[in-house]
Amino acid sequence: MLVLTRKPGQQIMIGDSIVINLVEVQGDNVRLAIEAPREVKIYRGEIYKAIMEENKKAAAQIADIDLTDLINK
Amino acid sequence: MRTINTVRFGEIEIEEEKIIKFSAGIPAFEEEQEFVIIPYDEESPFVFLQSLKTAELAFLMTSPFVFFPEYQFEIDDDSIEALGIEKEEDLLIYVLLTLPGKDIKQMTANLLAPIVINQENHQAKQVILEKSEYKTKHLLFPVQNITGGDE
Repeated sequence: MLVLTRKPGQQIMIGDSIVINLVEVQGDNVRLAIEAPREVKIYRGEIYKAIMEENKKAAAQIADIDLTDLINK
Repeated sequence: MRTINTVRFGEIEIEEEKIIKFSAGIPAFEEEQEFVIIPYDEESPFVFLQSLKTAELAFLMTSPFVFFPEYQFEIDDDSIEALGIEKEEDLLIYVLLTLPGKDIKQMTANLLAPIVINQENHQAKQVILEKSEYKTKHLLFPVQNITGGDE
């Protein structure tokens, strides 16, 4: 893992098509502006992680599920 | 026709045109790119999303609009492009369901990341609604206020 120190107004380049601009730092909030090609997906880590976790749970339960009670509602 | 193995349904034959392709996989299941939809039964809104590759992998899904009539979202341009979406009528929308224990009344739907299928070309994607207020868990049957405090 590469760890860099940056100041507001400075950038990080990843490859030659992704630029991360550090816009501002206020307390414990860091504001980033990201330029990337359309095909590069950008998500807040916790949202993507939450969906991965939920998908794993959704996949782990199915084998003998009985929905009779739900359907008859 | 293709013959696939499933834990729930045993060995089944499916027509090639019934295969739904998730070209980017599903988050946490990126290697799983081909699925087929198998109804739970003929009259219920529940369906299984069965993996072609992994016999034991099947997600339970439902049409969200049955349980959440006001559910709505906007599909981002990237997803529209990735799925080759031309018109809304071509779309089939499902949400994945999770059951925390044995009580099916506790079942929740993931409204934050609906499964969007383009029926025209069978391309599908779990779309993440980055800007919405929806969560990964919404009770299918919200708990009624049994103490009747409304009056």
